[in-house]
Amino acid sequence: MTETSSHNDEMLLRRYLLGEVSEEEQRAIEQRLLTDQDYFDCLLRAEEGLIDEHVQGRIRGREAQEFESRFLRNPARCDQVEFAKTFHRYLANQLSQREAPVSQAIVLPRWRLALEIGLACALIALGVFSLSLFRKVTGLREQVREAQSLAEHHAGELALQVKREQEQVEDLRQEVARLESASSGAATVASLVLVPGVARNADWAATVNLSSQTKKLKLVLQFDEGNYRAYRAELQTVEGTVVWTGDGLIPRKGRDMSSVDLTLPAELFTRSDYLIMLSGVNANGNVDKVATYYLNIVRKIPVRRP
Amino acid sequence: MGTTGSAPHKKQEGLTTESFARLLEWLDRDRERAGQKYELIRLRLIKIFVCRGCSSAEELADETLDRVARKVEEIAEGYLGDPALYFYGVAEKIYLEYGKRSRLSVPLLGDVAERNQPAETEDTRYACLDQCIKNLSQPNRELILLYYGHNHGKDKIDKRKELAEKWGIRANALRIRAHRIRESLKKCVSDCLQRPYSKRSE
Repeated sequence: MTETSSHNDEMLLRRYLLGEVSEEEQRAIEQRLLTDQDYFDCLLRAEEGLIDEHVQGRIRGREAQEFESRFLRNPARCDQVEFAKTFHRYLANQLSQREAPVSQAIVLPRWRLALEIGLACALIALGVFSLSLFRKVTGLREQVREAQSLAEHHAGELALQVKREQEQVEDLRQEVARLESASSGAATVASLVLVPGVARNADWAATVNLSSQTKKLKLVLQFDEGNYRAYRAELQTVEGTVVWTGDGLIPRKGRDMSSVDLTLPAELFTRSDYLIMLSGVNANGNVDKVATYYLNIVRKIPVRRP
Repeated sequence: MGTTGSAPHKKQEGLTTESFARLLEWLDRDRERAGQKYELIRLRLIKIFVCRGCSSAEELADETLDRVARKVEEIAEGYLGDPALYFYGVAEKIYLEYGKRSRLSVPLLGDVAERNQPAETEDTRYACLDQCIKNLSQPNRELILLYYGHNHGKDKIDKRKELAEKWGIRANALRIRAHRIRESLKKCVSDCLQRPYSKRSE
């Protein structure tokens, strides 16, 4: 049902209730009332509206006469009117209560007013105290946060310092190790430059002192430059026994002379006099004698003999 | 007089059990629905008689129902259309008879008012209404106070429009809802007035 048709129905039913419809209209309305629930509900609302208008004195003239002579003929409708009167009185009271809350406050008894003012003051004081407490707590929390932040900062710095010191200690350790290694290296390797053709005579023989810590003996054999691709060296005792042989030695060329380096285990030298025979290997694989070196070994402590 | 939905109000004098059962069957094969239809027809007949200015509307409605029940054996078989309309035809005859009986002697307003003077004072009715409104759900209470609270001119229209928008329903739906709540209040007040004083606040 649309709003308009509902409104039209209600207007017609209002006329019906006031006895203002024709006989034909009355029949049509009543038949529809018996078969259409919505229409019947519409009649009840129209009836309600009419009663409200009557109660509020809004029905005037001929309608008022019709209402009183016809509408109120039934006792049930008188009950409806009584209800409507009470209902509208109630509504008017509710409305005035809602619209005048200030005037109600003014007529409060004095003791109640005092009580309410006291309560309001207590609430305000509580509010102020809570606010101050809140601020204090917030301040303390801020201080704690700052202290924590400072402590974390210090801890970080300390950790950095410890790390730096650890690195320094490590550096020092490595330096000590390097120095120890350098010092022990000096002690374990003995070096000697041998010049060719030096006589076996003790005054001309090259002498090397081997201590108990000397592990290796580095010999630099110098010779006049030759056109050999590689050299071969033999360590012999004065009796002619070959103690050690080195092949494929690559020469280092100096300004005046060339040289080859030999690094031999110190323990090889069990006697005091040795010969070193240096030979050159030419392109054809032939070996030519290049130089002979004399070497005198002096041991300060007894060595392990094979 | 009872108006329960499932059971018709009563059997009238001169009305046999068989014819009453036949009447219900004519209204609907389902006994439950037939009972509801019977009560609805009765309620609407009462309203029609009231609207026609009959002071004994309930009696006339019951007489109509009885007469149809007695005729139902004859008419039910070949009847086409809504049975309610047959009731209407009978009701018209009853009304004419009533008119002849009473010559439509309309009681004076004062008589009606005197006869229906409530035993309870206006204040008692007010207290009952207050209690009944308090027993409504909060939305219904708000709706009825706002809907009927502004009862004049443009203010009334604006407020009701505003209320319909707030509830998200059309103006007509709002009107129906408000009317139903008011009807429930009317019944609540009526019940309250029937109870002894000590039990009225329940």
